[in-house]
Amino acid sequence: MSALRLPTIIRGPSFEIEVDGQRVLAYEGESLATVLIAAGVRAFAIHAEPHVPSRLFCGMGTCQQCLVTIDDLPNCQACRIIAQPGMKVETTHDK
Amino acid sequence: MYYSSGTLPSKVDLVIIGGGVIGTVTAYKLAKEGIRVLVVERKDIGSGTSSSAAAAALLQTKTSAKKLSLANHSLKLLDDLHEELEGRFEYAHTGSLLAASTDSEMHLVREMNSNLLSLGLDVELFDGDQARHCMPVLGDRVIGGSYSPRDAQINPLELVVACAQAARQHGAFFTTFTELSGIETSGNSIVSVQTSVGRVMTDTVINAAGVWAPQVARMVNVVLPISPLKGELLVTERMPPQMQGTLIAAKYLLSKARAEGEAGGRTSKRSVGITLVQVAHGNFIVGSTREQSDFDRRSTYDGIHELVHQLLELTPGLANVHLLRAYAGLRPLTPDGSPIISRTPQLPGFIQAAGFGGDGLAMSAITANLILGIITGSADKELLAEFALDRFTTSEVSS
Amino acid sequence: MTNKTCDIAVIGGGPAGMAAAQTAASNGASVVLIDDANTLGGHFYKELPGNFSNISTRQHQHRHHELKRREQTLTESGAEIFLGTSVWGIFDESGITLNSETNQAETNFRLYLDHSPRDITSVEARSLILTPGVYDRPVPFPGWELPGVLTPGAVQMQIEKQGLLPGQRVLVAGSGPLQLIVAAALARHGAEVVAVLDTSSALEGFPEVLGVLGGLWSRLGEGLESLSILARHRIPLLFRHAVYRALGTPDSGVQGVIIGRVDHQGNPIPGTQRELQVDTICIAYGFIPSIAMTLHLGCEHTYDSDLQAFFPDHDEFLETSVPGIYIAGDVTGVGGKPLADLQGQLAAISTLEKLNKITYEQATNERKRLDPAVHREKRFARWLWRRYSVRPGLLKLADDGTWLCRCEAVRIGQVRESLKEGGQDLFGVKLRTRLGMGQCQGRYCVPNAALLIAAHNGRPISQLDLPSIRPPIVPVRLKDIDLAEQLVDETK
Repeated sequence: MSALRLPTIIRGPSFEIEVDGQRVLAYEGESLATVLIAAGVRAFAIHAEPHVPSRLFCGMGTCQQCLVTIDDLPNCQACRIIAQPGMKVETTHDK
Repeated sequence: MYYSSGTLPSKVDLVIIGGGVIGTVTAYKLAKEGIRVLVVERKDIGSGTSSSAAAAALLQTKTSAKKLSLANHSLKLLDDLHEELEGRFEYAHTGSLLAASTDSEMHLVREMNSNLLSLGLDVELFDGDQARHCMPVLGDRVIGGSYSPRDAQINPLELVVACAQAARQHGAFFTTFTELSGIETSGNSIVSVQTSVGRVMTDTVINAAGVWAPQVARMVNVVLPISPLKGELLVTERMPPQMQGTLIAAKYLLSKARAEGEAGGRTSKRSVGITLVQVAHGNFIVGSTREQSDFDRRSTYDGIHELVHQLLELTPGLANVHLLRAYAGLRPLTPDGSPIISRTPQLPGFIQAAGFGGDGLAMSAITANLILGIITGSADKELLAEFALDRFTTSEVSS
Repeated sequence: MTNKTCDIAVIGGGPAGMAAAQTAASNGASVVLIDDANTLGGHFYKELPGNFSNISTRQHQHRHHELKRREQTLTESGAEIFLGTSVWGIFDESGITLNSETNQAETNFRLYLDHSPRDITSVEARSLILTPGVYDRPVPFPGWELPGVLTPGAVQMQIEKQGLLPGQRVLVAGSGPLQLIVAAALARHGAEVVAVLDTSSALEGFPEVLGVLGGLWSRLGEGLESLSILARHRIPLLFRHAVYRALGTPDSGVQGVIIGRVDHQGNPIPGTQRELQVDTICIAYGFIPSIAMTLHLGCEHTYDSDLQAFFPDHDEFLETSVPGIYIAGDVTGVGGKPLADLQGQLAAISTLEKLNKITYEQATNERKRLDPAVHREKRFARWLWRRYSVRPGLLKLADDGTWLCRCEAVRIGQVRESLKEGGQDLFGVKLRTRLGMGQCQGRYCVPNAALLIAAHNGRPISQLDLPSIRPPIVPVRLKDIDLAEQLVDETK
């Protein structure tokens, strides 16, 4: 649990995914954006060029600003993809 | 509405109709020589075929000594232009790889390769592994290829913007969002041009209006045998740099040759030949189809699908890349596939600079040079003969 | 790879789309309803994942049951529902993109799908009903690109669909009554809302409210409840205030914010700024209708200067300028769920009549029945939308270094430069800066660039040429376009 997950909610099963090599908690049904934010990762990527952070903005799949790499597949929208056990997520921080 | 760099002059040495690659590069070249130039463009610079160019200037695809020599000369002039403009447009000799996936394609590639070697071009024959070493994006279907290190990639819009800027710095006038309404003549001389923002006196008009050049020529009863050939292209999202140079599918050459042969006729058959280049910004540009469709620039499902399909056969590693934009441009094609860079016999002040097909970008610098030569009387006679307007028979012209 | 034929394809599965699909299917049309989210409901019905349960408000429970009921009736009516599915291109029956100059002839529509169920890669429909909705409109200010700056829509999605607070110390800002509702939701769930800012004044529009309210008291219920929550938590509601700049770094995200007063034109008032400690800024100025698809289809659009956005033209039957294409819901002008429901039904009735599934008499009677409610809702909708205005002075908050096109990293200074260099329109800005050529395909930067262009030109935005939207309507991976050559028509 993180400070941001609402305590008034009873969640289903949990599992772990990998974010930048670290194991992170996820609940069934959560989007990657939710999992990352709950784990304290708000900058989903910061590329050297352009040096503008990737993060949650519209929450509905329109802004394309929440892009992460999942299982070596680049440019996935974190807000639209549901976390699955064993997923390997990479945020990029190559400034 | 219009934008003008300064007030519209009442008289200039020369008016250029069209602000694409041909018009802007020519404007720069002439303005640099102290010629008073006005460019009249009906929309914004680069808004015609120039914004659909596939970003490559190729040597390897030339089949005759003449064409190769011209292309070589063009590249040298582009080198000079790039240096003069202090690198303000993306331009680099990143090379090209002509890739074969079947035995008959490889046979064609070998023939072309040895032909080019005999013409003095530095090309090298690769087997499949060497090809993949040169371009790791290639998949296993590629069995070999021909590599030409001197071929170049250019960003056409950066070229247009840079040349327009430089031309203005040298005193050229630009008026955009301006309609040309007429060319006034007296006997066999030009007196002025009429535009939606006023009349400008001049005795020389360069017709660089691309696929619309025939419409401009009609204003003075001149017939130009130029017809549009649609080409669809794709642009992907930006990716980390993973490719140097232009990939050409050997199929492309078969497609080009076939289309040129049919250029005079009417056919809606679509042919596809893949070219692929990764621009400095990171996007992949995938060309292109060839299809007769008048002035229709609409994308088609089949065009998009076929481009994607053939691309992924060559470069399966790009399967996960996102397509961001599919668009189309119109190549201005002449019956023999060569441009018209020439005075008009019955109206010598009216100089054509049109009909470049898919080579306008590569030919831009050499065309500017030739036009300067035409004006100063020092142009190469052989080239002039090759690009003369009156080389077309009346039947070709009227079809 | 299969193609599915149907009478009507409905694109967008919120209240309008659901109503349209329901009405159409229950009157004998074959219907396909497509939405790119994993559940139906759009922005109105926001559901937690299946195995989450919560101590929810009565309102949420009511909506939950209503959604379940609607989903059931929809399925029973025979409509086919494709979820998690995007439409990346719509072509005429010969495979060519539609275009306002060339497609006045009647044609079937071929929709190409991405991530569709059961390998159905395309849908051929005789008619389209588009209900794509709207998205939150950001106005750029220094620091708006920082992680932690997000829209009210995102906040609502996170709270209601995921049970997550996006942050702990939140500033809510922008314009319009939605901010109140979002602030209340944040406070109710334990976030510390440091303030709610609105660029409007408290008295704005009040006289209109009295004129419009008749019969709509319930609508204010949500607003009043939100106000009481804010009062209870002692959250300051600051009218005529705006965010001046967000503080923080790309890595850490938002760490603070500078706010200040603005005048009635949105101009910042010097000497009024102060700094607040926050980790999240929830901000938007109204909505942008999702017109990428209607632009792609060659529909005509008109700029509504009251609502400050381009909307697809439509007649009283909700048909656009392209025969066979209808629209409904927030994309016609944000009106909320009741109007969306009504319009969905109306669009379906028009389509059914055109396809001869119902008679002229039946259609007319249905329209007569629905009309009074539609009128009532429309008046409220217009009043509501006006509360979300973008005042021109707000552009002064951005400096030359502020990002305008985030996808291609184009700053406002570059855009201004391109206008000085000869750019007159969106093409000219794009040519010289690459604005709009990135991943979001211009959805966020083009509306703001339009404001800048209009300010520079002195010409109204209504005269701006909108870009033609080439396929794909949304980014699609090359492998998802390249499918097996065999095309098999699905027989029913």
